[in-house]
Amino acid sequence: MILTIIISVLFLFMLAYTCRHLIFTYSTLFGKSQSFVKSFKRIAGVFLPKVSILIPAHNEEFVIGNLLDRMTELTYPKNKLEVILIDDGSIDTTGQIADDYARNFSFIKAIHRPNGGGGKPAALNDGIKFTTGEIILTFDADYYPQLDIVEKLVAPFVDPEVGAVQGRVIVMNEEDSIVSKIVTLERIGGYKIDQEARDRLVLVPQYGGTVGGFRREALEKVGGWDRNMLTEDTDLTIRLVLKGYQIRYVNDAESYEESVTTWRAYWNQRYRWTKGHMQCATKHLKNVLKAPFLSGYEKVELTLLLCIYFMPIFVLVAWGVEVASYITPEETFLSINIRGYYFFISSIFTYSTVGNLFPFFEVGLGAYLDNRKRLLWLLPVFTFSFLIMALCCTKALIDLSLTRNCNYKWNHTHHKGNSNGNGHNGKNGQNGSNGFYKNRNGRLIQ
Amino acid sequence: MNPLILLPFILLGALFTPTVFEIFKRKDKGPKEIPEQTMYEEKPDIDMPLLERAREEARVNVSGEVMRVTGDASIPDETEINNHLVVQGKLKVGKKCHIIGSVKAFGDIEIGEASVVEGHVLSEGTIIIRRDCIIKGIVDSLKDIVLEESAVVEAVSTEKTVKIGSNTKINRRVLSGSSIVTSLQEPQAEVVEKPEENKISPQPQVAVEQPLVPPVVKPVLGVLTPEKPTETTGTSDQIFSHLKERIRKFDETKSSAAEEFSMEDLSPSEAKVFKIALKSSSSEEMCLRLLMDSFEVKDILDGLVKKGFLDETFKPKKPLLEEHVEPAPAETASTKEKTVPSSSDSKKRVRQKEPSAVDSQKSEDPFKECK
Repeated sequence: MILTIIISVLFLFMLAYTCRHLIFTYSTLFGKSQSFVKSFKRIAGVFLPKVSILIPAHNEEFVIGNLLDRMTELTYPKNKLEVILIDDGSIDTTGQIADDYARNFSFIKAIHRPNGGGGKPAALNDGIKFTTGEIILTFDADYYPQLDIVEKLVAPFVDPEVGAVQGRVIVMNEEDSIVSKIVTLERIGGYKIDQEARDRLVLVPQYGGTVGGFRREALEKVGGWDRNMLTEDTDLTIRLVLKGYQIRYVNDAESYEESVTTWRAYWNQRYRWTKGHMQCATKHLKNVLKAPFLSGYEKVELTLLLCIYFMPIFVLVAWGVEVASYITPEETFLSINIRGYYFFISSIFTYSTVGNLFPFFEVGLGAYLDNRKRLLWLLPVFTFSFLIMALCCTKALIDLSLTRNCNYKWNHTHHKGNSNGNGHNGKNGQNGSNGFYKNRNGRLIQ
Repeated sequence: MNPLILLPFILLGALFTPTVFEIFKRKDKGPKEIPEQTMYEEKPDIDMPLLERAREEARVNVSGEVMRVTGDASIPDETEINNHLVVQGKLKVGKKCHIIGSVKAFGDIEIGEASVVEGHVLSEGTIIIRRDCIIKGIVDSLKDIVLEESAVVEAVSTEKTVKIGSNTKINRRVLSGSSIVTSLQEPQAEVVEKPEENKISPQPQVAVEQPLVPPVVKPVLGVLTPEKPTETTGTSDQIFSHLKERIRKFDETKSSAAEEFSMEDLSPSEAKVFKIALKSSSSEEMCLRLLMDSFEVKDILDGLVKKGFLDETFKPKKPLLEEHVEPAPAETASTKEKTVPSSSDSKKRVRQKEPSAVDSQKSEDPFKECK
């Protein structure tokens, strides 16, 4: 009886996610954009407020030159743009590189936090003190944005209700390994389908911590980044929504990232995301459900968003329950229970189907719409990544239960530095996009 | 061992076969182009999703810098608002209002005369900016935008038409998905008075357009006598008189061909038809030009054919005439003169000498009956 109730609850939980994935997928496929989205696209390049770009960096000497080069090439008027690089206790030449650019370009500033501490949220909070822009954008050091990305990201802020925007992240080193290919698929599903659908359905697109921005007054109103949160971006998203601001997703504003390439790096990244999301869920779930001004749709969506990393754990539990239910001592052959074995297999496929088929569908459709049809062949590998995520989420839940306090530490991607620019320019500074910077000697050579 | 135990493994193998191919495929090492900029090619979408309204309704009670209104809103004259304003329905702002923030509405927006908006004005409906308004941000709409006289805006963006009044100032850009219409300057006292001061034209400029019709219509009707040029004093008058003079000269050159034939025995209507027939017009065109019945025109044409002026296809029998004229060696000079009717004097001479040429061809002259 107890087992039946547990299975039923888990099934309903997974059914909710299944419906969510289906709605998102079909919304992207057949839905219409919001009417004001057209306005934002039209006035991109017309609405030109003062913009400050924050770039937190910690030991990023291999890639920071690419991004700063790119900043000098942006089409946004330089008299309305300021780039602030926050060197957060780097022990390599990141600080020197930033200083060199700051000397050569008046709109670039370098801020040094010699002792660091507090990680990315603390660096951003320090950086915002030096900004003068009406709009604050953030980029990670290993990103490579489009030339007109600022115009596109800034355009939605013409709407006074918009407090934050999020652009699209695209993996540029997908050929490196099977892990980077899986990450590519996940990014496609996450941005092309999930974020786009949330924007279309007027739900809550999630600020992803990079390739996005805020209205300065909104950021100040919510108190900036919370350094105690592992996923400060999700935390900020929820806090902005609870303050009544809207968040927009701009699918056209693309930036390119170097993704993780090994399973260990994949595990570490996902572990931090998982733990941070669970942390946000424990912090905000009650406020979200109580918020009087949020619609029912938004409450459901935010609840599912905050609890999304609990789902793999539930699937794992469901598998265990199924195994316990169907293993019987009868009809054994070579010490394997035939009936129990088939029930076990079928239950796994059942839960995988309910839990995974629609994410598969979502990701697959995203790849198809992005014209990346070859990647569709990799969809079965998602089963393995799902298994890893289930274990990762379980570990994160146990760790979070044991230690509530999470101190943010820099845990960035290990860069090879060979995926800058157009993916074929070689190592930064030696064969960069405009050949401006030499890496090791810290001098700018054009 | 039960062979059915292998069935799941076979299914798994089939499932992962494409994956294995993808993993072990030859890697693409060529340069990967990254699009720098994307195009905006989506069609305009005006329908507002239902959820948008649901959300807005739910958010009406939010306190803060954004003031949200459910339904239509009307702001009285000379009101100052220190927040952003979001209205679900229509918004009408009174005269001399001051909004320190942006304005957004899902319906139409009308900003009253001499009002000032410090931010942007966004709407899904029509936006009307009354005269002397100052909008310090962008005016954006999915429908028409109307800027009345002396309005000042930063930029204008719409899917449809922008109508711009006189003395309107747009500091930056005008983006229109359809068209930009600028209204004409209204006739003001200064414009009328200026010619009087300069003593160029005693009448307003509108009166100049009156002589436009006669010079165009009269040549079509085949009236040969040129009218006396109207007395003109302005520049446009001079242009029109020049044009009329040119048209008159053109008609004279055309009519000279008709004058080669003697038409003393033709009735006025026959003469008119014959003159137009000389221009190789069809019978339908003759009806239209002469405003005559088609049967009447046909009867006249038949009469002209019988009289020998026209052939069976209603073309003038000029070759026949030339054929009869050419053999007379004494008349060579006169025929040469006839072919060069450069002035009215030469035409008169041609008409005077033609009978003598024709007299030598008495037996077969087609014009004999006419004379």
